[in-house]
Amino acid sequence: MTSEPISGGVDIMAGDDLARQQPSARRRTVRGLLVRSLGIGLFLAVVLVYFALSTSNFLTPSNIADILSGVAVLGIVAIGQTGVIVSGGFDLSVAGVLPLACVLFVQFSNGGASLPVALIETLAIGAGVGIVNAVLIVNAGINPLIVTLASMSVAGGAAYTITNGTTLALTNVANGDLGNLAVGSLPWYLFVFIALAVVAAVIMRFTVFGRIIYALGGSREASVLAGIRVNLVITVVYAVSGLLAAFAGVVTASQILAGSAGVGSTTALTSVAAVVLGGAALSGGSGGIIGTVGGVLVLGCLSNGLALMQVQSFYVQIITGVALIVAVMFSRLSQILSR
Amino acid sequence: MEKLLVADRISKSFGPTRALHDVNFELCGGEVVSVLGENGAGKSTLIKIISGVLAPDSGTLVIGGKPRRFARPRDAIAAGIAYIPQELAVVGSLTVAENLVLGSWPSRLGMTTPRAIIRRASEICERAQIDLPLRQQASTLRLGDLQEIEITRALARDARVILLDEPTAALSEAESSHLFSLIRSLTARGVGVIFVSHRLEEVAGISDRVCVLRNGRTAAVVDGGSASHADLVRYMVGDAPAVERKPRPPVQGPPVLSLRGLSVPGHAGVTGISLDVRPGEVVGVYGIRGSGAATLAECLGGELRHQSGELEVGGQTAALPRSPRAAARLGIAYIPPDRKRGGLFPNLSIGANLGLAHLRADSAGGFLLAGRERARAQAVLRDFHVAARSENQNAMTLSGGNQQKILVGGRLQSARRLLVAQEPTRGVDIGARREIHQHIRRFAEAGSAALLVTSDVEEAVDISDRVLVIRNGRLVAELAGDRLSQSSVVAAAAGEQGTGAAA
Ligand SMILES: Nc1ncnc2c1ncn2[C@@H]1O[C@H](COP(=O)(O)OP(=O)(O)OP(=O)(O)O)[C@@H](O)[C@H]1O
Ligand SMILES: [Mg+2]
Repeated sequence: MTSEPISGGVDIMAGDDLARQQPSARRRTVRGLLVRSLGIGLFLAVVLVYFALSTSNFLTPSNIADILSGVAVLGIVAIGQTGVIVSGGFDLSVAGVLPLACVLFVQFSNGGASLPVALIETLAIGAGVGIVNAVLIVNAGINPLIVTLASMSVAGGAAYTITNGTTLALTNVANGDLGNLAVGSLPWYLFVFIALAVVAAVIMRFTVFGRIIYALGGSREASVLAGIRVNLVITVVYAVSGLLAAFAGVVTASQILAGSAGVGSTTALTSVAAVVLGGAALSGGSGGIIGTVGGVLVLGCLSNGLALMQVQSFYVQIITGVALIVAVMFSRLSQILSR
Repeated sequence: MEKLLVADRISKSFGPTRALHDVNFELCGGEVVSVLGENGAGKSTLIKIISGVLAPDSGTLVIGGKPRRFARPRDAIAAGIAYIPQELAVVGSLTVAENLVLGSWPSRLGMTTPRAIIRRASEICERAQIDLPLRQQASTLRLGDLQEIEITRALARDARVILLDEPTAALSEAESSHLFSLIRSLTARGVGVIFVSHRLEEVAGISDRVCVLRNGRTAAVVDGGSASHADLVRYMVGDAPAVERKPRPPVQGPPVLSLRGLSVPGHAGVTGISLDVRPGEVVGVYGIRGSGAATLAECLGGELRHQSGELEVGGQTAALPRSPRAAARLGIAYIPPDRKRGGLFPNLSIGANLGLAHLRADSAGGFLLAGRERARAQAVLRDFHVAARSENQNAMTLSGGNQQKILVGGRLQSARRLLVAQEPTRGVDIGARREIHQHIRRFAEAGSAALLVTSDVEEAVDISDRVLVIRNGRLVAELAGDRLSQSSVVAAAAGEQGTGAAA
């Protein structure tokens, strides 16, 4: 036996000779990634082909731009929700934070705050709600479903209290200009959504923090025993979810140029649906950003395509529900096949 | 030698239960100290306090000369202490490689890649001289493999003190001796090891000192080499009971269960297994891990789907059970090897755990008769001498061995024809082990039968009328009477020539 310690401070990422021992590692990783998101990818393809064949104006550039812009708000919320669900949690409060942020952003702007100030104040409040969620979950040991159901109600109620049930028009013209910011027919927030998705995907997959989220969702007990600062990680995950929901609220305000407490009430369940469509288990430990983006696109295409086909909106609800089940079965199947 | 760790007058209570009472403990560098004691003696509690999982009520821990208080495992890890729990802590949804690097990911500025993880993991395996399927999801592995992951992970940390709570309970003989050589190479580098086991030979073989706990107090601290087994047992239980093995007459009569040509495809599968179990008989099935012995038990317990073969139960042909419910309908009670995975509901009370198999008998018109359930639970607590406050206690708060007694007691109550037990005495102390063995024998002698699948040769030989040996999925020997001995069983399982006739 050598006198070396079992785990020395060797930087193995620098070891070239070790890299040669695992020649196919990269290829395997990429393949694993593809196979895992295959379920939702296939399903998305089916949906796209169906609508392309049955309507004439589905695959037009302007409609595609519509779909993408339409899913951005949900997508931003779903990114935060992905982190929470993979870590073994659940965040319903997004449906309260989103309208609260929408209202507050308008309120701050109308009060004379400049765009960055109004934005930062709003995002801070969103993150604050997330931190309160985490404290109640971690320290008081209350189930995430209950905690975030309650904070959804409190935050949503606060939004109604501020507006008194009315709609606040955005009168700060400088901040209102945000609504016109676009590249061609693609609005600014679509690019923010794409950038956020890329950053989040990298964090989830290629950072220690991301690996911790997966470990935590797989087994909290084992994570504690491995010396992971579990409480800190949970707090960050919920704070980010709150922050992104607040950002979605700001986007909504810039879309409608007003603050309304009535916006975003369905995002709690649709964001969870998108994450699950993307292959996540509600028990935590699996799922990912690429899948979630796929899930968001499926939901967006369904509502857009069905609207183009002039299906009545209550049928859209039914079809969306059935699609959720079918898509989840697709992704289970591809997971089994990838074993 | 340098004192790595001194525990001074540690006490810990759980409500009215005094788990530890003024326990003193010392560990020096390069030393193996074993902790012995009956189920519920406080061994795991002591280990958990040292590893920061539990905080002591009173007493101090001195690590490397400095008094320390650990608020959580993270602090203990930072102080160079690695803890391998009795109830495994592996993340099933992650790959083996990710489990190996859990908590110490290879990283540069917080970034890591799946490739780097695999690479670090294979490096860890190489240094520990252990071969693990790195890309496989951990939940698909068997208990022994999971144990190996944990040991390897702890070895990978630069720990000065390694705490092993019953690490060998799930390991085969060969794997255990591999572990022991690892432990020796660690102590040669000055690492201190605390080792908990119920197997006296292991303890005597590896320990520099042995600390015996009884009812939460230090009963004795003796030199590893000097104490005899009888001494150790006396320290543990207070007085030395006699151990003897009575030869049993061969059992005749029509079989309770007869199996013809059982085949299960796949990893650790079996091919063409035929066997008869007669009333009044305990049949041992022995095989090293991966031999298919476990698969045979799982099949009879209704845990598998893709088996083929013919089954006769009580003289009538029956379909091979493809669900635990089907197995129960055939009168087969199955004791799974891993109480955490399939045996007990940790969040339910002892009473509720034991009552689950009897919901129909214990209820009237859909309403549960609490009295009957209570009586049933109390009978098990009494018969098996379970150290529990009452049947209302949560199963999770019992010590590992006592949980096992609950599991075995409950299944024995619901077995009608045949008990299929897989590793029924894993992690139980000598007294409880003997009790469980007696209960299984008594169950058989009352006219039923038992099939005991175990990787513990001593157990297989002690309790069985005859022992079937499985190797590479095939039945290779049937040993009974004079031909039945620990060495003949091990030899047949290992594939040596000239050991008894093949069945
Ligand atoms: N969380 C808990 N709540 C209540 N009682 C507990 C708890 N943990 C342990 N105990 C009790 O403390 C005592 C000591 O338990 P411990 O787990 O240390 O025993 P052990 O020596 O490791 O036994 P075994 O050999 O069965 O693993 C037992 O009586 C047990 O029931
Ligand atoms: Mg224990």
